[in-house]
Amino acid sequence: MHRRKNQGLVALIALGVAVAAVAATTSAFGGGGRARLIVGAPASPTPSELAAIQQLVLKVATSQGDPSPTNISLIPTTRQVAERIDAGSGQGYANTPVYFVIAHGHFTAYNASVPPGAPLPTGTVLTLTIDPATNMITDAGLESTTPNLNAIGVPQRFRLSTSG
Amino acid sequence: MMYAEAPISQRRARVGARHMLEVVASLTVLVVGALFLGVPSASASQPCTTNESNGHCYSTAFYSVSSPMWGGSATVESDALTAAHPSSGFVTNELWVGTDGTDFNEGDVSQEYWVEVGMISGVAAYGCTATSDRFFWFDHRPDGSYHCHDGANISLGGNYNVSVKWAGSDTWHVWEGSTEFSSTPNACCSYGLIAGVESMDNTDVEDGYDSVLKKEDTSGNWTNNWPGSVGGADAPATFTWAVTNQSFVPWENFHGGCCARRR
Repeated sequence: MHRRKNQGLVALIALGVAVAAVAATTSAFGGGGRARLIVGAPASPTPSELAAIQQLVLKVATSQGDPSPTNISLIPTTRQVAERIDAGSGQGYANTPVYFVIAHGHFTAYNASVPPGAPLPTGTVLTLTIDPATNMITDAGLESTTPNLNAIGVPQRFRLSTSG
Repeated sequence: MMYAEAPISQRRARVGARHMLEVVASLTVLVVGALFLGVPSASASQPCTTNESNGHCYSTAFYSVSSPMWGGSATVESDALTAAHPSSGFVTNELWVGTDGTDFNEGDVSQEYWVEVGMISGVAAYGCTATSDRFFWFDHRPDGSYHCHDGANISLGGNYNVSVKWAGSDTWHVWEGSTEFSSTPNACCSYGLIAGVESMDNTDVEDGYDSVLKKEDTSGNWTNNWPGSVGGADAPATFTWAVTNQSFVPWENFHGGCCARRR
C-alpha cells in the first residue's frame, strides 16, 4: 500500500517537473504563444547525439565566419513543420522527424550558390534542419529575424563548448 | 531594345586582360613552390576564378528581357558532376529564375532576388550537407532570407526538368522533376533567367548538357528558346551552344581526360 502511494507521489512530482520545464521553456523563448508539441517529432537527443549536433553546429557556424554563435536552441519537430515556419512553406516535405537548430551570430555564407555577380548571403540568424538518423543537414537558412520557435515545437537551449 | 546588354561576356572581357598577368604570375609561384617544396598541387581548395566577385565560376546562358515573365524552365543533364572538395564546396548544373523584378543585370545585385533549382555535388550553400549527387533548390527572398533545401538523389546521365513558375499570392512553385515545392513570400515578376553550371573550385568536374530552355509570359503561355540570350564561361569552364538559344554544353574539367565527351 505504502509502495503504491510512493509510486503515485513520484509520478506526480515527475509530472510537475515536466510541466514546469515546459512552462519555463515557453516563457524563456517567448513569442508566438505556447510551445507546440509536434506529432511525429523525435525524442530529445541523447548526450552523445547532442554532442554530435553541437560539433556540427560549431563546424557550420565557424565555416560561415562566426566560431562563437550564441543563444542556440534545438527543437525536436518534423521537416514539414520546420520548413513551413522557418522557410515559408512546407509543401513537398514529409512529416519526417528532424531536429531544428537555431543560432545567432554574424554569418556570411561563403559557399552559398548564387547567380553570377551576386554578393554572398549574410545574416545574424542561422537555422539548420538536421536528420537525426544521419546527423546530416537537409535544409538551412540565413536570416535577419528569428522565426516563431514555439510554432516549430518545444525549444531546448544548449551551449557550444566555445560559446558564451 | 528588347534584350539587355551582355553583362557576363563584357565583364569577362574587361577583367580577363587585367588578370592575365596576375594569373601567369600566380601560376609561376605555385609551380615553383610545388617543385621546390614538394607540395601536392591539387590538395587544397583552389578558388575557381578571379573574374567573379564571389570567386565562383560559371558556364551559363543568360536571358534578360524588358517585359515581365512568370517563369522559366530547362532540362539539365550531367554525365559527370564532382566537387573537388565536397565537404566545403560544390558544383551545380541548374536554373536561376529572377523574382521581384530581378533581371540579373549588374548594377542592382544587392536588390536581386531569385529561386534556383537543379542538381548539385558537394555542400550546398552553408549547410545542406548531403554528399550524394542530388537535387537542390535555394531561394533569396525580398525579406532578405536565404534558404537551401536538399532533394532526392539524381542519376548521372539522366535528363531532369527543373522549373520555377509564378503561382500568385507572393508564391513561386518550384519543380525538381515532378516534385513540387514553394518559395514564399517572394514577389512577382521575373525579368531574367540563367541556366548552367556554378563551381567553387577550379578542380571541380562537370560535363553537362542543358536543353529545352523555356520561358513563360504573363498570360501563362510557355514558349521554347531564350532568343538573344548570352552564353559565356569563366575559365577553366567552357560554354558551347549546341543550338543557339535552345541548348548548350556547360563544361568544366580542369584535370582533363576524366570524362569522355558524349556529343
